[in-house]
Amino acid sequence: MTTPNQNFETPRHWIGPDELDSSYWSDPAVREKRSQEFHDKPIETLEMIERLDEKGLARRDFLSIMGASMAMASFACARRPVHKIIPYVVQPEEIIPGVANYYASTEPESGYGILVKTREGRPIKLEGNPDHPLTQGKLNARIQASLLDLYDPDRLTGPMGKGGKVLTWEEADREIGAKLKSGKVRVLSKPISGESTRKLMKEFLAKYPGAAWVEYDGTCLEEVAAGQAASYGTACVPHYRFGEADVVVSIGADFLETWPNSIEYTIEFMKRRRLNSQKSASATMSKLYCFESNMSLTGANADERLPIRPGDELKIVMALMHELSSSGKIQAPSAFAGVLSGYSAKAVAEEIGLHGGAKKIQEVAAKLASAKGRGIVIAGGSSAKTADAVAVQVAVNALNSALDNEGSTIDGTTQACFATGDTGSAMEKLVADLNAGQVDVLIVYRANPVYQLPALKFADAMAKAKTSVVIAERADETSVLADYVLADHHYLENWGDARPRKDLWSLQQPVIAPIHSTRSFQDTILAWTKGNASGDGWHQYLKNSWKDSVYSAYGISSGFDAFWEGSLRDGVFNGYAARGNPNPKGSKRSFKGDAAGKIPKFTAAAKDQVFLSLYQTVAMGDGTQANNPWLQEMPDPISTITWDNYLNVGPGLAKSLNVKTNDVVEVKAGDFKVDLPVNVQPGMHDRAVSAAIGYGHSVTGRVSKNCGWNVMGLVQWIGGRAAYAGVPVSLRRTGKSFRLAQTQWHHASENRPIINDITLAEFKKDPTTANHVDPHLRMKEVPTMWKRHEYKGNRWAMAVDLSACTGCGACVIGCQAENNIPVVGRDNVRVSREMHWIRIDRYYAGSPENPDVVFQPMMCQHCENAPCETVCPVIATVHGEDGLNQQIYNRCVGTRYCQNNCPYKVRRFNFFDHWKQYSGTMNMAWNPDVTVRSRGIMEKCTFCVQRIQEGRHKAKDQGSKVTDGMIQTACQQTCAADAIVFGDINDPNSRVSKMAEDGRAFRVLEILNTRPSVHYLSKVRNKEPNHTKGSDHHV
Amino acid sequence: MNSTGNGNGGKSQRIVLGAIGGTLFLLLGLYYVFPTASNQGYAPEQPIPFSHKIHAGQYKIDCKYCHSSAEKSYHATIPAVSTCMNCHSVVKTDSPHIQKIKKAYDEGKAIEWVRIHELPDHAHFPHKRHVAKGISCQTCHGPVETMDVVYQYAPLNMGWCLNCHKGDSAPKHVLKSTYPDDKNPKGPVASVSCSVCHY
Repeated sequence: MTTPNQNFETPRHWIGPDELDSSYWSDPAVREKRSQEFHDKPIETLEMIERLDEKGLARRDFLSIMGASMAMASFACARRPVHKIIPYVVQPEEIIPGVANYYASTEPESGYGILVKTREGRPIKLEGNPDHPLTQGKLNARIQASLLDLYDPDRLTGPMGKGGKVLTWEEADREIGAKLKSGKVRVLSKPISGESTRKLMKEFLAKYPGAAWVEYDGTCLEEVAAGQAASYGTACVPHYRFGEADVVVSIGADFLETWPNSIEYTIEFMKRRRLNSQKSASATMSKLYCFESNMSLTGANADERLPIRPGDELKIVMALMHELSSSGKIQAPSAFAGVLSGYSAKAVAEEIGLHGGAKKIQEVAAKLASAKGRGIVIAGGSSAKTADAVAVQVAVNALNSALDNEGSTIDGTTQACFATGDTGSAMEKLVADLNAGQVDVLIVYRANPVYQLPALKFADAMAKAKTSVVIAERADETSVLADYVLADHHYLENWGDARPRKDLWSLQQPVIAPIHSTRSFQDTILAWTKGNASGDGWHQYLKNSWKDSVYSAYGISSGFDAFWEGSLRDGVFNGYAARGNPNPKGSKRSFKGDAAGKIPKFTAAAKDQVFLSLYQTVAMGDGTQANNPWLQEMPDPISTITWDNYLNVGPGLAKSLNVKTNDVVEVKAGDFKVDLPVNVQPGMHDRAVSAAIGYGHSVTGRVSKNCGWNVMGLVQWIGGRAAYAGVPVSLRRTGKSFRLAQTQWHHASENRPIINDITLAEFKKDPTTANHVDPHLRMKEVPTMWKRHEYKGNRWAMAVDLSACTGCGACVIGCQAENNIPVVGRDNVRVSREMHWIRIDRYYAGSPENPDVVFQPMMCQHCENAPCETVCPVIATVHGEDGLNQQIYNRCVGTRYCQNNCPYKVRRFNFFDHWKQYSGTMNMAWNPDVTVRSRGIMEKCTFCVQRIQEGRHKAKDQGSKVTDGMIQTACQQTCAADAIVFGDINDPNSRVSKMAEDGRAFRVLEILNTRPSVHYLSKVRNKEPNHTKGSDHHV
Repeated sequence: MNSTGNGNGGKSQRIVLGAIGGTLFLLLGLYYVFPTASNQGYAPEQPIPFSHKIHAGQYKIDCKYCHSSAEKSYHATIPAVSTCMNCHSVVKTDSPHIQKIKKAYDEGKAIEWVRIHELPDHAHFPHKRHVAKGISCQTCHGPVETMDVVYQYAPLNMGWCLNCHKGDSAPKHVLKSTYPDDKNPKGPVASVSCSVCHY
């Protein structure tokens, strides 16, 4: 049916490689699909859901229930039901019903400072603490979503013995206490940075002779710490000053998202990416090169990304070193001499098949040499955890030291982070001790080694401990094997502290009374150490600990109570500021020459062998939060897939394997094999595949049931370390298929230009978007027959800087928490019924082998001439006097005409009463300021109208006008890159006005004369112009 | 014949019954879709027969003594049991109702009052904005100081809200303060934009 179009012009931006083929566009089925709002028609959809979801309503049942409920509705009494008002017995002084209170606290694992918004004593939203250096008011998706973990109905509710026997805490203490006394104790936990918990653990270990504590997490940056220890003597993760770096070379380091401290890194990195069109001629930007095997968020934001195989990391670093030293730019440590000669740029580039060849390596080396002391070479993180990851770190450190970046942009002394725990050999020893029957009591706290480390056969080893105790929030693969399972507090219910940096003390306070009869880990340890389990034991312990290690250590002059109150209010004590130097420079460390002995000689990888890397996604991380519906349904920034993991396969390899997206392949490494559906991922090396960890739990809650596949068996244990990357695998097509719930295609438009990216050189020459792009994208004036609206007071508008947006998805979760957006489940996402009000569209540009990536946050555009308003038969969507496109739920009858007429596809329809899935404690997470929508109602982004109202009330209470920045939408509030700006466009001095006037500004589909209130600023990339329309994908 | 006649009669009967049933069904349906939307006059029995006439009328206790959040929050709020006990730990302690309150207070149990004024969840009404404008409680709640049993005075439906926002039924002083230079101000005195209340 398809006729090749001779005049076909490859689109500059595309969603999937199919779009680069002219036959795709001339396919009538495609045309039909793309012109529809819904890809699947209602009846077919129902039938499909029926097929897919065993427990879902069958269609016939559905219709009969519909009929019955209609009949019942007609006879229902219209008189409202009697509602009770139940006031407090004694109203707490600080609570005014209807007014939110904010408390500063800390997420102890990441050390991120948070602000907890509470209403009537229950937390409803998490935001970053503006006074905390790590978050600066911003927060990522995962920590924001941790709110739902608190209310998770699948949490453990109290102490249990073997076989789920319910115990009281006294019974548990008595039974476990007796066992502790008579044996060798081992504690296994994730690395803990909190000084007070560490102190407590020391006391506990001292009480039981022979006891030992292993802090191990294979997914954290332990290889970075090990490399630092080998190179400079101290195990730590250094602090990188991206704000001072002109050139950044990342080798598999996803520092913009899955790394610890990624929020501050994003803030710092973006400081060097801000552009002002009025000063375009003198514009500068930092330059980010990214060599990586899996397409990460950092890679997607790189100026130039170069696909490699997992395992090629060392070759890249060594080739850079070779290039720099052979050209005399640096003096490589003499110990490298023996191996360095093998790593010539030419040899490495050819062996890898690097895009741009040896020239690219030479270019990167030259850039680094030209920015001595102002560059960063960074490596590590889960997708680059190869067997030789420590050698990579050593080489990177040698390079940074030779380039004088060490001590300048890299601080390993003052601001370094200290929580990477023990090395793999400590873990090996623990398993050996267990297997030798030398452990009487094994205590596992916040770790899931049975899931994480199948290579060590931890389950078998654990069975050999005489007694095993798991202290956890919810049941997992490890807890089901334990003799005792003690339910732990959620961190929002607990006291605690974190020490993310040497002199940065972060305080954690409970913001809600424990929901279940749980007890904090620390109270449990206190009870086993001191024998008293009094209510505020840990609280008092923490206070005393702060008195010793913070209050006295820093010589605070005020009284301790005042200091404690102040620290509680601020949520953080900044020792750097207390010493009068909030941002100290680290001192330069000297590279220990003998570390170079760890570097192996250049060896070519087996030809045609495919290598696997296992990475963490932005949403799922290591899988601890797998039972979190917000995170499961958050589309992955790169693949836009929800609910499952999958195997990323490059277009070239997919072709040779003869697989497409959704085809299932068998991945085999050693004895372990797993079936994974394929996602054809542009930008993957032809000999590289990748899959996300954290999915496929065998012990789950009701959310994470059947979500993805467990790939942890592919992790190899090599030389005392867990290797997540560089694993040679064999792939086999199974012929089966699995439909992944991918969202990007849901809102594809008819290939009209809606996004723009230019290079820095182009920007410098002429910053005006209109002069660079399709005239359809940027039109100053469109002839119109409509009378313009008049906006007398405020006119709310938004501007989004595409150059800043990293696509991390924090805004998606922020919006979800703020606006009571329901989760719909995999089946509904498959039929494009996800409810997110803000989505992040991802577009590729250039060749599928190595494309550029552009992210575009897309929300209701609040058009001046809104197409939705003109078609609503019941006037449920109307134009406000302040420019808001209002959606009035109580008027909406659900015709969905508006959704059909919206060119931006941002309207969302409630096909079901999704709120009914929120059972029990989950209902405590709703934001009472926003209506919970019922079935049959259309909804969409409101520009957070409840926040606008709150801001106006605040201004009126103070007798003033709303000032710029006073009202922040939820998405803007949480954006670390500061890509989203909201404000009054009628105020010429507001930030949003200035951005709208910027030369880079354009509005989406201006040709339609919708006059949106959202302005986008073109993405600017610091690279050589290499794209003319449709020319480069054959390069 | 008979049987045929009966049959015919049955048929017409069925038609009539069907028509009546159908109309009734339709009316009930319409009533469901467009209910009177107002609980005006609603005066339910409360667990404690608290008299506003005595407290607000006779003793002239300020409304905001008990409804303390009215100027700070969206909700005026019902007072905590402890607020009652501020006086009733000494006043009229022999009354069985007061003893009920004292018992609730001592046991830490809240009193479950029956809600009279209730807007649907999709309407957000900020008490504090209206109190700040100088609108008296009685404007919407009626002569509470004369009520032994409180009832819903105003219809509290959207038309009633809008009449005031548009200026038609707005108190004079509000009109005057909104338009200080206008001799005969008409309004509007507040926004009539949907999203001012509905979100």
